[in-house]
Amino acid sequence: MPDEQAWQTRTADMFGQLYTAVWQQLAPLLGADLSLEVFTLSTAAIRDAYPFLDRLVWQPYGLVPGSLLSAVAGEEQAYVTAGCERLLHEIQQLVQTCGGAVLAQRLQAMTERLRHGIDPASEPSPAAAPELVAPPAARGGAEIQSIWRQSLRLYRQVQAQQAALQQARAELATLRHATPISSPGASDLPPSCGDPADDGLARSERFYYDLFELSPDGVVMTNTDGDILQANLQCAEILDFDTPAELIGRKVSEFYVQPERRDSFLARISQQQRIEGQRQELRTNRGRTIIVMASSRLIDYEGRPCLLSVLRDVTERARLRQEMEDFAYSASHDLQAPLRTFEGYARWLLEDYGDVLDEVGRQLCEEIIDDALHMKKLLDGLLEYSRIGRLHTEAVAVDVLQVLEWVQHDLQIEIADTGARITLPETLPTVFYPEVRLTQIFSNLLSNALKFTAANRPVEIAIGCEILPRHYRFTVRDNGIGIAPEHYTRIFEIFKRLHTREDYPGTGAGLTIVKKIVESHGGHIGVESTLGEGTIFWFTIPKTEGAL
Amino acid sequence: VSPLTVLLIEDNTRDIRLTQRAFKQTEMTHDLRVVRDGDEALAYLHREGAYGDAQSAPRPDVILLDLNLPRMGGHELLRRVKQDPRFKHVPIIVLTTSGRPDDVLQAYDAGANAYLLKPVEFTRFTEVLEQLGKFWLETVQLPPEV
Repeated sequence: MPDEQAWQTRTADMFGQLYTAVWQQLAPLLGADLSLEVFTLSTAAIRDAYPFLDRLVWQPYGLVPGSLLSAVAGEEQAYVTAGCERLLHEIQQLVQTCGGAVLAQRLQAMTERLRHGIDPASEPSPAAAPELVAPPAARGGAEIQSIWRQSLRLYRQVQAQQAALQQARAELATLRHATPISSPGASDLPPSCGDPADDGLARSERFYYDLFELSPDGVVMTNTDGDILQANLQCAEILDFDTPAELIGRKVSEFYVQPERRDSFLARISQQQRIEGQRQELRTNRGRTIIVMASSRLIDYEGRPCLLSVLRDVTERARLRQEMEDFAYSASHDLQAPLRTFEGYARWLLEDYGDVLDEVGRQLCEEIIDDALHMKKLLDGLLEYSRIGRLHTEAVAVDVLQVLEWVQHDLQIEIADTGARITLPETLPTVFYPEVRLTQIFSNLLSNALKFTAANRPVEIAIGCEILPRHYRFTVRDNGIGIAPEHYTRIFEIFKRLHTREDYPGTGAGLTIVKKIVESHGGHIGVESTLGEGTIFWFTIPKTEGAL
Repeated sequence: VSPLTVLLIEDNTRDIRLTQRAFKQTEMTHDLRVVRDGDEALAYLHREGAYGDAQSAPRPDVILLDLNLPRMGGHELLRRVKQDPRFKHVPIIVLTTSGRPDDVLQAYDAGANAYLLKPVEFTRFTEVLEQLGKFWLETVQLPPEV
C-alpha cells in the first residue's frame, strides 16, 4: 500500500537524519566505540517496549542507512513514532547522566532545530538555543573519553541493579497475590517506580496501582489479540482463579460462553473506542457460568492499542431478578384462570337466565364481565412488565423514523378520531436498540398524547430529537390536559392512574413499562408539564449499546 | 357428516363446563369426551378400566390438552402419547392459559400439533373452537384409523 510505505519512508528518513546528527555530535567527542555504546545502551533500556529498535544496525560510522526503514516494516505508525522518539529521549537522558546537563541541552537544541528543518510543522526550537558544541580541542580528548567510559560502566551497573530490583518486585507481587490475607502495605511499590527523581510520576503510578488493586470490580487489560496482559485480584476471583498471575497470557476468549461474540465486540470497540455496560456470559475456571457487566476502553499502552476492561459480577442480581420476573409471570397466568369463569358464567347468566333477572341483576352481570375484562388487561400489563427483562431482545440498528411510521400506522384510528397533527423532526438518527422495545416506548407515549387531549383545541403532537454527547434525547410533546407536578413520580408507578376509567380508559401500566424499558437500556425518562397546557415526555438512548 | 370426536383433558370443572357450552354454541357436529387427568387420559386411550370398549371410549380425532394438570403434568402426558406408536399420529392441540415461551416451545418440541391460548372472553373462546372445528373437520385430512 503506497500510503503505508509513504509514512514509513518519511518516519525512517526523519529519525535516520536525527540519529545521524546525534552520532556526528558525539563521535568526535567520545570516539566511535563509546558513541556506539551510548546508542546500544539506550536501545537496550527500551528493548522490551520497542523490540523493533533492536533491528537497527550501527557501524563505527553511525547508523547503517536503510536499517531503520527495514526495522519498521510491518509495525504500526503510532507505535513506530513513539519508539523512535523514545530512543532519542533515552540517548539524551544518557548523555545528561554521563556528560552533564549542558551537553545534553545542546544536543537537544540541535535535534529540535534539525527536526524543524525537516518537518516545519513540528514545534520550532527555542530561539535562544545555545550554540552547538564545537569539536573539542585536542586538549583533554582522552581524559573526557576516559570519564565517559567510567560513567557508562557505572550506568550499566545501575541498569543491571534496577533490572534485578524490578524482577524482585514482580516476584514479591506474585507472592502477595498468592496470600490473599495480606493487603498492599505502604512499602509495596508498583514495579518500575521508586526513582526519587521521578517522584511525581511514581506518585501517579502508585495511585493508579492502588486503584487497580483496591477496585471491588475486576480490572483486566488485554491486547487486541485477546491475550491477557494484566489483571487484578478481583478479576481473578470473579473467574475462579487464586491469583492474577494465573490469568496472564491466557486468551480472554477462553472465558466467553459464546467466543464468536469477541469478534463483533472488537469490531465495535475499534470504531467507538469505548463500550459501556456490556452484558456478557462467561465460563469460569471452575466451569461456572456467570454474568458480568463490562465497560471497556481502547487505550494506548506502551505504544500498542490495548483493551482496558472493568468487570462486575452480576450473576446473583440477575438470578434474583429472574426469580421475581418468573413469579410475576406465573402469577399473571394463574390469576387469569378464575377470570375466565367470572366472565363466562356472568355471560351465561345473562344469556340463559336474563329473563328471570331484573334490570339491576342484568346490570350486575354486565359489570362482572366488564371488570373481569379489565382485570385481564391489568394482568396483561403485569405480564408485559415482567417480560421486559425476561425475553432477550437483541439490540440492532434501528431507524427511528421507520419505527415512528409503524407506530403512527398502528394508531391511525386514534389519530383520525382526534384529528391530531403529528410533526417529526427533519432528521432522525439510527439507534442501537431492540426494535420491539423502541416501538413500545413510542407507541405508549404517542397513545397517551392522543388520549389525554384537551377538548377546546386541535390536538398537536411534536416528536423531537436532540443529540447529546453520549445520548440521544427524544421528546414527545403534546398540547393536552397536562399533569400537575406533584404527580410526576406517581404516573410511572404501576397501575397508578390520575383519572377514572370512565373518563380515560387504561390500566396504568403503560408508563411503568416504558420507564422499565428505557432504564434497562441505559437511559433515563422524565416529564415536564403545565396543567391545562400540555406535557413533554422525554427519554434518552445511549449512543453506544446500553446496559443489558 | 360424521361427528368430530374430541377428547378434552382438563381438570378444572368450570373450564369443562365452559368448554362444553362453547362447543354447543358452535355449528359443528361433535362428540366431546372429557377426562380429568393424565392417568385417566391414558386409560381412555388404552381402553382400560371404565373405558373398556369403543362405546365408552371412541377413538379421538383430536385431543384438547390443558397443560396444568394434577400429578402427571400436561407436558409429560403429551410426551408419552406422542411416543406411543398407536397414538402419536392423533393431533394434539394444547389449550391452556400459559403463553410462557418455555411452555410453548416445550409443547411443540414434544410434538404438539397446535398451541392455543384460552381467551378470557367467552364469545372469543367460542370463536376459537369454531375455527378449530372447521379446520380439523373440514379443512385437513385426518389420519385414517389404524
